[in-house]
Amino acid sequence: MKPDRVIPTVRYSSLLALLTVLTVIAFVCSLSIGPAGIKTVDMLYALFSVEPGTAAIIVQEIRLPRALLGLLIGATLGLCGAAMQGYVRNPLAEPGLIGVSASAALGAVVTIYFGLSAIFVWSLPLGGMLGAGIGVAVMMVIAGRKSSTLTLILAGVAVSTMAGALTSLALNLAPNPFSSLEIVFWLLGSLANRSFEHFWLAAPFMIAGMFLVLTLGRALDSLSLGEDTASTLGIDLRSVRLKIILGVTASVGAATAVAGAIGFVGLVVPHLIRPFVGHRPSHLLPASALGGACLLLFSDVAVRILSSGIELKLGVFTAIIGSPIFLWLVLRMRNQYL
Amino acid sequence: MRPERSVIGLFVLFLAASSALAEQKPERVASTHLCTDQLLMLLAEPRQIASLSHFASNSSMSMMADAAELYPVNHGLAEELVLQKPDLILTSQFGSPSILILKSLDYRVLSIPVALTLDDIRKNIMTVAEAIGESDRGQILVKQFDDEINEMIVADEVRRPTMLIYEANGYTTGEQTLRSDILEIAGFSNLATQLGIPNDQYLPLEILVGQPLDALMTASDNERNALAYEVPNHPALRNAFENVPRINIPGKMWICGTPFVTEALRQLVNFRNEVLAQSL
Repeated sequence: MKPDRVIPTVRYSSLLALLTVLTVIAFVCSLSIGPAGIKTVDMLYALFSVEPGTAAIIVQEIRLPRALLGLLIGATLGLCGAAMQGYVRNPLAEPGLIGVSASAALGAVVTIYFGLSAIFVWSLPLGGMLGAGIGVAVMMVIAGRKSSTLTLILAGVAVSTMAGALTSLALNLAPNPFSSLEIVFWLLGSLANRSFEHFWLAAPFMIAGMFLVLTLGRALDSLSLGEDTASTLGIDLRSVRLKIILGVTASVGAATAVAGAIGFVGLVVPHLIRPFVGHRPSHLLPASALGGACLLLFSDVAVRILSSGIELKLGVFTAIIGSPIFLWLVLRMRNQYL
Repeated sequence: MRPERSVIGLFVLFLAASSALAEQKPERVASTHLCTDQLLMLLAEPRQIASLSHFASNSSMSMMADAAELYPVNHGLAEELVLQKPDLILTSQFGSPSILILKSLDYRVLSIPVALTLDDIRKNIMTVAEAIGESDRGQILVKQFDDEINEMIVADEVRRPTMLIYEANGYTTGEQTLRSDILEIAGFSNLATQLGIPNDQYLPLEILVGQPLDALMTASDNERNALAYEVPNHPALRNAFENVPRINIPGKMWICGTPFVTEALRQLVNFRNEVLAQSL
């Protein structure tokens, strides 16, 4: 038994180190790539420059907020995916698939297009969180803790479809010639032209939400042994449930309010990482946060390289990576259960 | 040979019929496009107007929103247009699919090209005026239009401040557009034309912030209720062009080639004088 216990720990710390290095590389790539060709060396100089030159404006005000948002939103999605999968013990639980992102987008859309966020800026993240909260609540009520995978996914399809339809309705009714075209942003997500205004609106809620979820590692470890065992181990199930709801609501709600609904990150990342952490949620959570940040930052670099002119939406890229993995999971589950 | 001959015969008959129609003064004219709506209101007798598009009474798009309230409305749908029994339908070159149906039902349809220059506006005024049998009014309107423009002729042609239109979604307006033509006539040099950008095209913020600009036109600050406006309101743009004078000309003044573009031209000429005075 002893070697088994030692090796995963070593692996785990080196996994975290590897993911951190990859995330740093992705972050630097995100700062280095854009339509204005700036060399990485000049970019680093411009990043710390206090003089208001062109390069400094480009790096500090266009690329930096984008990279920081990519980092935090990716971490949020990866972490929430891992936590929800651990909590409902269902491999397909993920903010995008179960409709939390779609309902957060609906909340944000209502605040932007009907003028609320122009009067009171914080209404944007609050609207996103209200939407996300409703999505999470519906998921918890319909699917609950002991639901089958099928129930969870069907509930998610219903919630996503409903939220998507209402978003489309709201955008069509909005008194603005551009609104109906912006459905693509809300359905697929993008970080293009996001500024520090968006970062400061979303970051506090994302960080607070992630902090809440990260504290659940040990509780989720116990839960993986079953609810009764967890209770006897002193885990307060109601508090775990409340923290999951609040954490996912705050972080996914705020993330979606500024970047739209980005799918599949929360699904793909925990699945890729799970084999390396020995299926322990307490290890999976931090590693999935790093992995999510890394995946989203690289995806955001990829959409910039792949498209000239108007950029591809992020969700296009994450779906191209994510849906094959989703299909593979479905196939594997079919072999297991049918 | 026979079928072909009968087709030719029909065609000749059709030509004769349509030219006979053209000579008559149309009594019920319907317009399905914001730009032809306004030209029609300016030129027709009120009783001639069968209906206008629903955009005509939208005060954020139309310069004649109040006047348009008086007329029946259409949404460019074939069914409603048929019920309005028009004897002439005005539309733009980018008309709706329903126009194809109406053409096949032998309605007389006149498609007005999009005006890309002030000269196109003169031509379009006369085309509509002649089609509705109001040539005299057309000539008077063109004369007024020319007089207003001549009053504003720019004296100092040499110094042309560089200006850029940067709008919703980061779009700019370059070569072969009415707005670029008006910018040049107002005495500005359009940066988008200098960069060789045709039509309306996306210009990345990163490219824009390094450009030398004397003046900038963006969406106004109070237009924020769509993501589209977040690009022209991006902090990077504010900081890069902190001391560059800005102007906002409401889109409705010059999205359509109507005589109302003289108001946009007047504001631009005044703005150019301010920009030149400031740079001295």
